Amino acid sequence: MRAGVRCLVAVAVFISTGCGGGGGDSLPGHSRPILEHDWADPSDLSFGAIGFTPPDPTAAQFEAPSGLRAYIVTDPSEPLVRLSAAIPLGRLREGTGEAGASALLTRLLTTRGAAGATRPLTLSLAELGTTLSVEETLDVTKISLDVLPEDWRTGLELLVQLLRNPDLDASAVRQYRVGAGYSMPMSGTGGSGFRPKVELARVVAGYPLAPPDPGTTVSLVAIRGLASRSLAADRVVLGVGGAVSRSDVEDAIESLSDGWSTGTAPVLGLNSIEPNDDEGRFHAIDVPSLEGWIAIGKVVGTVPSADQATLAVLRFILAERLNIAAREMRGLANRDEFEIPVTGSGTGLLTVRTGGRPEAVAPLVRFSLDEIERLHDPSAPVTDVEIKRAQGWLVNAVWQPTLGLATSASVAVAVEHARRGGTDRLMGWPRAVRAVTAADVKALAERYLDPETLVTVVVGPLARIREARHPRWPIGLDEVAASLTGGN
Amino acid sequence: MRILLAIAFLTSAALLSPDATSVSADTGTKTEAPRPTVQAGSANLDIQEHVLDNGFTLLVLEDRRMPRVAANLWIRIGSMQEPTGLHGMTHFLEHVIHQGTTTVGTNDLSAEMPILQDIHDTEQELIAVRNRERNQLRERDVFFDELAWPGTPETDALRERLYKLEDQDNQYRDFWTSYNAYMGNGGYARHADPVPASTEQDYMEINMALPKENLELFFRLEADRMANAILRGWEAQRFTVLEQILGGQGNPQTRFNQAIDGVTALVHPVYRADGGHLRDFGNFNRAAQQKIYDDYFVPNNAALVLVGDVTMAEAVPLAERYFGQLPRGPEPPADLDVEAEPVPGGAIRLDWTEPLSPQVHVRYRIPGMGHPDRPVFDLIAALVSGPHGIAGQRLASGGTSASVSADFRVIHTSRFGSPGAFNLVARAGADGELAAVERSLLATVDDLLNGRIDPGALERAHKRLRVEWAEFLANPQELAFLIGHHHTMNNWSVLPALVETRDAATAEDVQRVAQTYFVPSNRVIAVARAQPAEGSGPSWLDFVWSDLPADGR
Repeated sequence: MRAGVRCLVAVAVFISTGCGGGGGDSLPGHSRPILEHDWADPSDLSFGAIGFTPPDPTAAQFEAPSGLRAYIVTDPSEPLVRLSAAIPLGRLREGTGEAGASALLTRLLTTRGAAGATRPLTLSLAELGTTLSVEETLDVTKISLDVLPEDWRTGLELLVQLLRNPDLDASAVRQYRVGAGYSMPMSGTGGSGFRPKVELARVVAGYPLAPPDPGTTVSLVAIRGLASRSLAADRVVLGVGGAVSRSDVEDAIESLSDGWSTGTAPVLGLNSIEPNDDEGRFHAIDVPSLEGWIAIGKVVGTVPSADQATLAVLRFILAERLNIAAREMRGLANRDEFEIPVTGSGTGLLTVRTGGRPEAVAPLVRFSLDEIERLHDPSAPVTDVEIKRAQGWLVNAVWQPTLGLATSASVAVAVEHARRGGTDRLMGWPRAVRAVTAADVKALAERYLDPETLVTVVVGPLARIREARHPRWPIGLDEVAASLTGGN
Repeated sequence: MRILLAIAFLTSAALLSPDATSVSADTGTKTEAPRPTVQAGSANLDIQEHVLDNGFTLLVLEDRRMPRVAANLWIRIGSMQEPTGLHGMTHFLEHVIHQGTTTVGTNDLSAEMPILQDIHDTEQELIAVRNRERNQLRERDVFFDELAWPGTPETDALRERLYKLEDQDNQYRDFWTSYNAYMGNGGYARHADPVPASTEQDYMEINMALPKENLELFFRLEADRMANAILRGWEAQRFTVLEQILGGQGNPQTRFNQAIDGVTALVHPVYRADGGHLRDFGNFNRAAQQKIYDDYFVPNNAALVLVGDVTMAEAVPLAERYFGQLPRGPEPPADLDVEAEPVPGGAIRLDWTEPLSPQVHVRYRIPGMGHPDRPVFDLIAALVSGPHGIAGQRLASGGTSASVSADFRVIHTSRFGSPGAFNLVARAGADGELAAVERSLLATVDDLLNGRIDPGALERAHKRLRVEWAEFLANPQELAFLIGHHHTMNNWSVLPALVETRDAATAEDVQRVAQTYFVPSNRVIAVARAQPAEGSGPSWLDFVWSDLPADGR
């Protein structure tokens, strides 16, 4: 038992000067002795094969005569029922003249209730004891609610009516203005409203990767056009998961969707976002703030299916390296993360996001870029240990729980279908991830993460950031900017 | 080995059958014997308890819906036990105990040991110098920069030496060892952070959900962390944690909320920011943390909650093998749980002078979890919240566009064994609405005092609580957290009792409780405006604050 022996050797070498209580050696400063044990090193623990069988989406699928599709995953032991709708809605689904329509349509759906409803949506939800949960991405919008098992039929009717008969109130449409697209003040690097990421998207590609310009209005024609494509019976995908009877749900869906039209015009889906012409590699935006916030990245076009698992593995490894470099070793930031797109085609933004106090900003940019450059260093390989860890996490910590419960599984397969037209990729994900090698990751990094193509955006109190120097890593922001722009 | 009897709080049919379930690959349905639908509103908790000889408590709730286990380790220590001047130190300790142990996170412990000794000795010297030079280190300004940590040339030099020693130690470290072990073995935490833990006023918890096959990993890593943690990378972690606090401070709403907490009671540590004050980060020292660790990280002060595909019969051997090896320690003192002492003379009013979205907070001090009146407050919160709660109805009839909610937030946490707070919060559309909003909120309170409770709103409130409870039951990690928190505050049995009492609570109960607690002398009203009449004047945020030197000065 390697670890146990190591512990005992250390104790034998060490001469305690601690307060020492009760015999046995102590760690410096401790009053109690080191616990000697013979526990195996964690890496030497061996576990049984993970026995998880996901639900079969093919068996869970139901299609009503209207064309409305649903994934019904039942489990009588669930304490609630999750009802969800995955809608092909997002900025990538907007056509000419429809910029901003997705966000507005989502807002109308989730605040106004169905057209002609006799009671406010808020009251209907309150009577169910629930609220709507909304998640918007570039290509799919998900709306869901949790209800008690006794209320599933009422909840399903509410959800279907919202989608089938949206209240596209002309006055609400006319009053709407696209917002900034980001949240202020920033505190932390999370959330879709992280301003540096939004500004990065504006710089590298603009709309539709970035939100439309603030103040943009949306026409009623645009809303109606988008709604006709995205909210048709054969476009929305429902998820129903939990303590329900499958046959009852099928009957209800059939009844509720009777007469609901299918779409005529095809759903739009921009597969590849094109980058802007070179707008420079460094941008700084002055905002009064206690800290400075950073996004580093680029836009990618279509990511072939064969590359998507490798990209996910790369994401995990780079995020780990960034956090160790910035947070653990240097205490510069609370987080230093790397994100990849969540779209059907893989198009979107590759982003590092981080931030910290003013004197940490320039070092954070420098060390983050260093970690990306290290991916290309032939003498610093991606290791098999890193690969295995990424695989274990992607399959057993992300994929498995997504499909582990009836509630979550029904949502996951519905969203996947709305995004990709089927569930093959989702169900084949473990195999794809386990096939990734270190060589694959290195090769992908070469193709997608050339440091010379990355753009850096800094948002914060620029005067303070510029004059600040971290006493341990005295890198100046202007120095970093010059290295990225060649002094221009 | 003492085994305490399992107590089943099954007031309706069992939610969680011990029978195995299997997932059919053909039908997409979990197949098992049909069972009655859950009766929402009943607690439906079948928690089994087992206590080891060394006092370590194991709580298991079987849930076979998914082949995973949510594991949650609880230590009864939090910010309420911190000395003044060292606020936030326990939360910081949570971070540094995740930097490894004598057997985890190191490539060569024997090489590290002399460095660790040197770090200890250098810090002792630093503490002695700070004690001796304390008059030079005391803050003198009224308006000060919280990040300008005072120092002297000697303290600066000692701090610099500590940095260099930690740099030396880094070469023997394996970073993120335990986190990586969890990740690679399919673990995920309640929140995405390499420190899968949280610390609040009255607890520290460490959580991870793992495939059931890999559950032993949690026992191995966490028992070791409780026994042999080494506070590596301390200086870097201090700044990492500081970033968390700064992030919160950068949000004006956080500053307002903290001010409300600050005026709620004359002396009660529950209202004190558990993340600490920025200035205190300059005072933190390893010695004080090691004392907390040695005193409180003992098995008789800890409980492990497991919710998932595991039985007590499977968990006990693991507990014995790992946590059972830890020697019982002296009983660490609990926080001194006294009633919050309100300001004599009556209600407190806080008019915030920093611009903020217009809002009114009406707060009342309330008893903690375990008090017989506490469950009714959950019902009151649900009753007043939202556009169709009784406060929303009042606001609408008053012609305002304000939205209203109720919560129990104090700092970040919403439930305490200690006294806490009931907050009625309305966010107005404009400053001009604030007076009407405040009147509406106080009229709502008057409605409660006089029993003017709309039956429809009451029914909706009960429904909301049932759905909320079902959401907890549906989520093993959140349920493990809830059970563990209640056990750390009091005993886990408080939780099902709470659920059942509030489900049975009536309008008369609401009125009774309101009449007891919703009185002016127990109240804080806080108001913020988008355009306050006068500015706040210089504050520490307005000063050009110094760079944060690594030497602590």
